[in-house]
Amino acid sequence: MLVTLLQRGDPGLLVLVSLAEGPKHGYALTKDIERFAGVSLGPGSLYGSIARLEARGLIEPLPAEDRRNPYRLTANGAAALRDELKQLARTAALGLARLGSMP
Amino acid sequence: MRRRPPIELALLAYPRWWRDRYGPELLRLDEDLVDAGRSPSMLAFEVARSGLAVRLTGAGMPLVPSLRATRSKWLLATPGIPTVIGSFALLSVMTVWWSHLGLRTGPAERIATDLWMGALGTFLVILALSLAAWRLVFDGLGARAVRGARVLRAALFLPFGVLLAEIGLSVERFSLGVHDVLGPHGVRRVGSIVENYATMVTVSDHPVLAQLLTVLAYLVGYGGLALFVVALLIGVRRLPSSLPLLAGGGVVARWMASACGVSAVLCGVSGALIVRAPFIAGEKVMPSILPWWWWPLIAAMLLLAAAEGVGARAARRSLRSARGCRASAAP
Repeated sequence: MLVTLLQRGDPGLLVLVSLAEGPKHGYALTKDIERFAGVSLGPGSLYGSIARLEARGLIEPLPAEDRRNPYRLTANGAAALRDELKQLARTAALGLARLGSMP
Repeated sequence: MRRRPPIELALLAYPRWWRDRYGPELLRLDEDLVDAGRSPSMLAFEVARSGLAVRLTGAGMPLVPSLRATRSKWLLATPGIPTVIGSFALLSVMTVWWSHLGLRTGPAERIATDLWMGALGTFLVILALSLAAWRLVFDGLGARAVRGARVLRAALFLPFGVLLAEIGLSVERFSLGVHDVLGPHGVRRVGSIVENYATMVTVSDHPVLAQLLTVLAYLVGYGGLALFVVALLIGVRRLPSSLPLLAGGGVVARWMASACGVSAVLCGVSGALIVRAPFIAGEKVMPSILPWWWWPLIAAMLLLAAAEGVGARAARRSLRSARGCRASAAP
């Protein structure tokens, strides 16, 4: 499911990976994603993803501080992220192995 | 008067439910990003673009009946009003155009133009109902969590197939009707004047092409019906994965369907009534292109649209229970 989101240009997977480190608000998410993925997200794209992930119960909001609302992964979100990353890792390993076997 | 910064204007692109929930946080993030050196106008543009996407697709909208009802009202208004106005404008321009060219002077030309107008009305209804069908499949009844929606989704293919069949019937009736009434000379005359719009008329000048198109139209039309029967034979449970129409619908179809919505049905009906007003007013010179069984069909489509609300409630219950199951299963 998340891989499909990524293919459509939805940064949901990036948001989940960022939140795997711990709760973050919008600006912290933007900076973290920029650092580890090199993707500079706009507010619309980021909150579009947050809204979709929240509607699916993969993340949840924490009490707001100065209009900054932190989010954290839910148990379902962590499980979904783990599954997707394993699948991506399998695909990446296979691709690298095939490239390695090429002359 | 205070000038609103671009980001606040851009935020209006989002629906109200979205602004109420995420608006303050988004504005705070925008302030942080501007402080960090990002361009305010580019940020505003990005927010406006995302807002329109949310408004069109309803992505992230909670499955709350009141919200869905509001969304339905907007979906009625946004494409509906321009379509009705456009239909009036089109009819006015067409009427002036025809009379300006002196086409409605003789009985033969009169019949030809009426046939064309009738075909236009039929085409509008087919288009509108098809779009409505797409939206019902992808936006409303397409919720994977709703088991009952699969039955409704299957039922949707019956009118959809019939609509496709009607395209074949319309093409055949139109080309044969013009031929029978006017003869080859009249067909050529009307065809040369109408130019771009006379594709179906001029087809009658080429009997082989006309036959091929008719056969193709029938194949498409009754293919839709056959698809429905096959889908039922395969089984309702496997329907979503057994039809390429659903599996390969894609983002474009989803967007198109969401933009048009259930209102497409009403637009189509009103558009057809407007276009066919001269026939209804008593100047009926041809058998009705819109058969009587279209109206129960349209009623069925509207009932399916109403079922969308039922589907939403079922989806919410199903999602709740699924979340409960997952939470209890989690370590």
